[in-house]
Amino acid sequence: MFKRAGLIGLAPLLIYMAIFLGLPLTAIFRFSFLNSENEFTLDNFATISSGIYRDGFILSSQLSFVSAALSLFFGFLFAYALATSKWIYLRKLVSTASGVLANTGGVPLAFMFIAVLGTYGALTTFLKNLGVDIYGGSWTLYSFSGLLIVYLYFQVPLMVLICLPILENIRVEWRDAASSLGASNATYWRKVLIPILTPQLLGFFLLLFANSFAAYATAAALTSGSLALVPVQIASLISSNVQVDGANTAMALGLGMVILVGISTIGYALLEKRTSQWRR
Amino acid sequence: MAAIKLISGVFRAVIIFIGISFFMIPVFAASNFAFEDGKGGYTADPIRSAAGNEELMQSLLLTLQIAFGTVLLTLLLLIPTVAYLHLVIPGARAWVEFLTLTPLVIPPIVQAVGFLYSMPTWLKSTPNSLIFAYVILALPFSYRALDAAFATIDARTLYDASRSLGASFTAAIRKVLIPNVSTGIYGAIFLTIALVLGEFAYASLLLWDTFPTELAVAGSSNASVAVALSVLSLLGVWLILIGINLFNRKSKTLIIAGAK
Repeated sequence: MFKRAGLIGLAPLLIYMAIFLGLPLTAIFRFSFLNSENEFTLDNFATISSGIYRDGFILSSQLSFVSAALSLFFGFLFAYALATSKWIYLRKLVSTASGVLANTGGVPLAFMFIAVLGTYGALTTFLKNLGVDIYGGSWTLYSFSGLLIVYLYFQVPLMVLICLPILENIRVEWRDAASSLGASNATYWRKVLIPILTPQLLGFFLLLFANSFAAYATAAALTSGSLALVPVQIASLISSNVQVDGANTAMALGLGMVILVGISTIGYALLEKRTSQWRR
Repeated sequence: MAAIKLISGVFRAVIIFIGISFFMIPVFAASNFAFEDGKGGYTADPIRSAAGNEELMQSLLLTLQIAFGTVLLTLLLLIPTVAYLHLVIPGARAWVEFLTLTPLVIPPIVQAVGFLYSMPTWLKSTPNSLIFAYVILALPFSYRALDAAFATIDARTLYDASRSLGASFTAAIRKVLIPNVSTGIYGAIFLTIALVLGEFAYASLLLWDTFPTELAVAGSSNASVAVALSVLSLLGVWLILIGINLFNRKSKTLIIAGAK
């Protein structure tokens, strides 16, 4: 009797997703091909591929690329140090804390860093008393590199979180087998470890890139719009009416984001699937 | 050889120390900033002034109300669906899981714009409409938490056993299946609450004064109140997430998309 019911039991979830995810997505797609008069046009894509919107994509990509690369490197180093250490409880503690920090973000994180590295922040004052004035030059927390530091605060833990299980699964036998065949430590890294880890790390890079590209609240709360990242541009186009077909431009930007984040995430998923075989 | 070992040991300890400091210093420094009274002591004044801030308290109530609604709707929608999948069509689990991951691919700010331009006005005129959106944002996490719980108990066998012992359909679900997947249910609840407490993109775009958006406003007028509440709300979310880790040992990689 159950068998014949088939897919009917899935109807509530499928209908719900069609309404509250499908309709918004369709709207994004439809409006990005329309102008303010609701006529078909490709102008929105011309708009977003030039001027400030092109700069927005470049800035977002730069921030995501640099934050992904830095967190890939430092997260790997940290995770490797932990995975090869004998302190199992420390490793557990860090992995729980990373789970927490990777999910930290948004408005509270922005304010926390204003309290730490802002003009009157605790660390700023502390360093000033030591004779180091970080605001002496042109640097501010509300700049590209300032935002980058804040992003690392959720990106590095994410890397630690996804990297630790991989590094814990590196088999001792591989190192033993390599050294019994005469490989030095460097050869083991170059010929065994790096080839095994490369596709995995590439996947992690894509995930970190997507994670940073999609982030909005942190940038919005910290820079209040002064850094023109794509999500910030979308929000300001929607909430202000300075441009006639602003909403349509925002939709086109949104579609661009979906494509970029989508490709990165799917790339991560494919690489993850490919490399999950040797982990079992 | 011994020298190399020593060097790599020291190197490792240094990296671990730097890593831990990088994470801990901002938390300590921000707490200090918020609760220092300027005379070398500590004060709870920022909390008191926050508690006296009518709008902030209103927004917290609204956020809690939305969190409650989101949890309720998530469980109503997902428990029957996941139970049905495991009992009737386990073959469809893989593609339903894939489907529930799709919200991760679409940045929350883009979802919010789409929501704004596709939902009817009567729905958007109440802050409770956020509930419908947040169920979607939480879906990748809540679904996986429940699915993992059902997968570990062999739901089909338990169901068949209780039915063959004379339990009715509802009794089998209520008295046998639900209690056995309670860890997954708690995991889904905690994850959903954590997401709602931090969600900013939807709330700010749809102009609702939830706790995160109101916090952003408070920050521009009173820095120490905003920082104090930020530290506290981070601690709150951290406690929730530690709670999830206790209940949810299997799926370690959890990333909540909404908050960032």
